[in-house]
Amino acid sequence: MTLALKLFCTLFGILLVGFLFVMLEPSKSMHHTKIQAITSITKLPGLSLSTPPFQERIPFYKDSSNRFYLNANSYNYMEFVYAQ
Amino acid sequence: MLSKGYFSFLLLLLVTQRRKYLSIFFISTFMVMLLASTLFISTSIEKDLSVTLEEQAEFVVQKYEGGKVLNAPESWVEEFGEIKGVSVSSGRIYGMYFYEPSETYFMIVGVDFFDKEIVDSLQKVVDSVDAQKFLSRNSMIIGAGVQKLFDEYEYKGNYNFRPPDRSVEKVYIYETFPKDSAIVTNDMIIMQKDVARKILGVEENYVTDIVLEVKNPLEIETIRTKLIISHFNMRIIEKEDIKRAYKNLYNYKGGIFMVLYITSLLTFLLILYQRYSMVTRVDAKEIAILRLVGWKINDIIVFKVLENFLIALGAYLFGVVLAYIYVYLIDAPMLRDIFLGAQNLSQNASFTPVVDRSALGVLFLIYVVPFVLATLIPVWKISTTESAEVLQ
Repeated sequence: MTLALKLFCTLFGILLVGFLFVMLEPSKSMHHTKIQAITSITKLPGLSLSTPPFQERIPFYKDSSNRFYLNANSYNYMEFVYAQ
Repeated sequence: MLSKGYFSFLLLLLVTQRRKYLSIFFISTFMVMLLASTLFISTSIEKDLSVTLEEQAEFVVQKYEGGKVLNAPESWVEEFGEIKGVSVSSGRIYGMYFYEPSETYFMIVGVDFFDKEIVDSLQKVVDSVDAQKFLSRNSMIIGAGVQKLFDEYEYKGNYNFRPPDRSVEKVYIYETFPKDSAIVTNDMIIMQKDVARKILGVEENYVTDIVLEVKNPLEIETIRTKLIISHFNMRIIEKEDIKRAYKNLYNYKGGIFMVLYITSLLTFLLILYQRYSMVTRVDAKEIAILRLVGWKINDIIVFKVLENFLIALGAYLFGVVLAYIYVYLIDAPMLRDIFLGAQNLSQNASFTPVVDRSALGVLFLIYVVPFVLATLIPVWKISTTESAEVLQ
């Protein structure tokens, strides 16, 4: 076999190994334990989606703090005054 | 026929004519990568969602009057707890807090830090939680997105919340949730229940809503009926409702993406078909020579199909590996925003590696098979052309 053919086979082999890794690699992350822990504390389902103000954070919930109306209408400059 | 020499010849032809196939290979790889990335993201989100939903209580009860959700009276917590079959009944304090400088919202959740179980659960996420230290002053644990925003606006160590009663509530940042939990904690602020109550303006003897846990699934229907007749100014949300809502949301997003993908796949296959239909002199000469040395039409078709199959397979493998790297190692920039949104705090969550093998199998079928089929008819047409005619 020529050098080019060997190169072709090697590249294909690497791809195959990479693909097998993707298929067989089990989920080793601790993500789920952490997600479970957080949800067991807050009892709130769903993900921290970056949703627009007119959409509820948890679908179907329509939580009490209606996002159309601001529940804490703060003034920027006042924050600094109070902080002092 | 399918000897070592045959394969050597096949590979040799691919290597020598690599320029001819390179563009097809890279476009194919990109298309596979795009769809595999979508599959990876949606399966990962689905898995995370199912984990959060499993921890969710069976019923959420909200006070609902005149089409508005109001804070529920705390007396309901005890009342619902007495219903037979309800194992836990508890009131929650949570809500969104508007952060005017960036026009974004945080989610404030009040939890009871006197509860040892809660502190133990928190320690699984944040190592250094010491309840005593946390309760010594107004403290909060914030998500990575909130921390990023506070840093941007130079809030170092604390933040002055403005409750609706126009007072100021200074709360110190105790710790930040790690990035690998950002998929649920990005916009979240956890603090002691009383502090959350004050900031969100939830009056004493009221809660945001009530959650009810049921151990025996057979009792769910009966409890639901009892809840419905107990008060007429409330709304009952079941775990199944939320599951359905999320499923619809992601089916919708995935569906739109799938339609776009299929359109581009069909266009690509059409281009491929046309490209193979336009026989170049070199192609025709190559096939004519093969026929002259004794190859049958079938052999030539098998040979050409194998040639294209290798390209499609290579693109498929490469695309899937690239998609894995793109989604799970570099957290899918751009595509992430389609699924997690980008209208509130920037979401930099990393996805939990989950590989749906059956979905990848389907991807193989809807990509590689049409790819090979699209080249079959043009190749057959070329191989049936008279070889003497071509060589003249």
